[in-house]
Amino acid sequence: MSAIGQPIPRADGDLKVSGGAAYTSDIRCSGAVRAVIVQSTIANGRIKSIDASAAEEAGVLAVFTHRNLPRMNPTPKPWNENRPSGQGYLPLQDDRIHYAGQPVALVVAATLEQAAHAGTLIKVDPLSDPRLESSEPAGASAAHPRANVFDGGPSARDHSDDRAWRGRRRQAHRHTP
Amino acid sequence: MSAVTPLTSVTVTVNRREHTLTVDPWATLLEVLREHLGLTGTKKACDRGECGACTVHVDGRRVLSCMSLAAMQDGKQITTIEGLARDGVLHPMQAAFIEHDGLQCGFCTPGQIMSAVAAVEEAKAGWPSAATDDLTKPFTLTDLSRAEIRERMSGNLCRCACYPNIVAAVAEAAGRS
Amino acid sequence: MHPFALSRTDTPAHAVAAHAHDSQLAFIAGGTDLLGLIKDRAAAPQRLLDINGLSSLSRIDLVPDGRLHIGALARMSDVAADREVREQFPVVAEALLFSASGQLRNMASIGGNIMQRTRCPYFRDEDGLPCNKRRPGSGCSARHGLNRSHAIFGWSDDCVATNPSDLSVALAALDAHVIVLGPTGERSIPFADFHRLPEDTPDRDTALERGELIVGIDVPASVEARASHYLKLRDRASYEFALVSAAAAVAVDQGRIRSVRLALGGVAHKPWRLTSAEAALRGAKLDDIGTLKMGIAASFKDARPLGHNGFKVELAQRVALRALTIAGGRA
Repeated sequence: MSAIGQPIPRADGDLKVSGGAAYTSDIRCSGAVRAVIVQSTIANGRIKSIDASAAEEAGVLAVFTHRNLPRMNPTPKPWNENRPSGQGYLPLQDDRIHYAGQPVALVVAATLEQAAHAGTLIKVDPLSDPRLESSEPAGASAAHPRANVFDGGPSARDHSDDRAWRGRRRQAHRHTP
Repeated sequence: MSAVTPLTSVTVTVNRREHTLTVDPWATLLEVLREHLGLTGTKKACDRGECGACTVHVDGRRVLSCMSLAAMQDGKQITTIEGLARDGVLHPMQAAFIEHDGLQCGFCTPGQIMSAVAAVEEAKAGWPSAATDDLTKPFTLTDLSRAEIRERMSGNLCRCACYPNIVAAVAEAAGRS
Repeated sequence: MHPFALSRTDTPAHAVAAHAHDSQLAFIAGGTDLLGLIKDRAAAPQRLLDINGLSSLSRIDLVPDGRLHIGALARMSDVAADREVREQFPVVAEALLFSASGQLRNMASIGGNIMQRTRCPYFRDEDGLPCNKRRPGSGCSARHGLNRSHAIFGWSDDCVATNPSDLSVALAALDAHVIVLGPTGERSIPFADFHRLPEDTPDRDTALERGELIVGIDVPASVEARASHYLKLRDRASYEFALVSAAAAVAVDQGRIRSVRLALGGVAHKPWRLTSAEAALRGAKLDDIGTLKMGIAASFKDARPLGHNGFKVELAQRVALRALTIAGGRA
């Protein structure tokens, strides 16, 4: 209690200013291999095919895709309809692409540079779903979220006549290059 | 892509110890410091020359190790964050960072400190900056204002936003507070 | 990065010969643009030639006739700190100091600085979005895409990118020359001819041929150089490329402009010299803002903004005006 209100130096200050603080990527285990994630360049669709032959030639230890990664246990279903669902998506389990940047392959090699370079040699052939590439709602076919204990927020209301809301939606398109 | 690419032998002095290393031509200095020499104090954040976390000194000058090829450092004197303290005594800049709490998570801190130490030397050497009012006049340490420090440190980003405390730390270590 | 071979030379002639005979070879000096391009997969040379051993090319000299000679391997920070550059050609020192960061200025060479490639995010996109500069014939994503930071002058349907070098704007204003060594000897390229317009071959940024090595830059003495200023406008206060920038250099006689040099950055594929404005401004009083504005406007008749950068037309005129008045204050 005597520390409260006192300007005491950080307990980890010495370590952090001297380079001695170990962050996750600083930790070395002997015999550890390195992995790099290859990401989807499209936002929504399916993976048609993946050709990892060039990566495999470059001397990697393994290339994992949705085809050969071991199955994960599914996330639990909500026990109560008023609770949000558990995450429905798990990486590298099927050919669906849900977001730009989604992992589509995992390259494992002896060094980080090998894995990173091999990752660039993997050819992913994606099939875009053009209906779902815009942040604009899909109009008449959009589903309205049903009311629940969290209702009261703007997303649950009908905004077709709300000009201010349309203006805010347009702003969602802008992003910093 | 199976061509054998020649490895390169390079002799560098890092923190006053000489090393002769065999490196891939495309390995960055950052990667070699961290992976070959186990000096993980220097951090890889953006790996694009945009954040400054990888800042080290090469022949006394602050540079970005992620944008330097290790194989091009033959004969150079390199100082990393681990080499700043001498005989267990912190460098005044390191002590100032603790005193002024110029860090939180600490990930940018080694790069900040290495950059700051060199920036003060640059100011002592009479180098002006974009914040200097009159370039035609000689620049001296007494001209190192807070605005000058901010400009000279602008190549080091801090997501925790410790900037005011970092500036205060640099000012103290430069004898300008 | 992709695997490449690395070698080194201490002789300009050897560097030239190696480059002339090998289309997969790139020079590396500071490497601050080249390594970024390689990491973004916008460049993939198979062989790199380290030219930092060409020690005769790093000098900064004021020659007796008042000309400034800057060796291609001089570092940005050394040129910016040089007393003579600061006193006689302040626009050059300022352009350098407003570029990059302290670390980058220590690494980057003058030759590499004027060679740096556009920051257009489509060009530098790791996943290789359509870009005629990167892959000729693939299209220009910026032409009808996000083009807020792109050109308002001199663009073509094939490419609307801008040149990112601040130093180049200052050198264009001062009519510098780029001294180049090639297989058949040395030549001097007027700065106005060094960078190209995109036209239908945007993959070529400069007038350099294969086998040519920049050895230095000559900035001639001029009555305007001393009263000069570089003004850079960007979204952040520091450490960012220009949205719009201006280099102004002016000779003043009793409050009137005797002659002026004005060049803009951030508005075209090359530094944009405001030749019509320079002619119109001759004789104008430095405190007659209305006349100065009209003079500058003379160079904007052919401005062609894109979908997202219309604001640059007005902004560029204001930046030019402010740079001019600040430079005038130094006369």
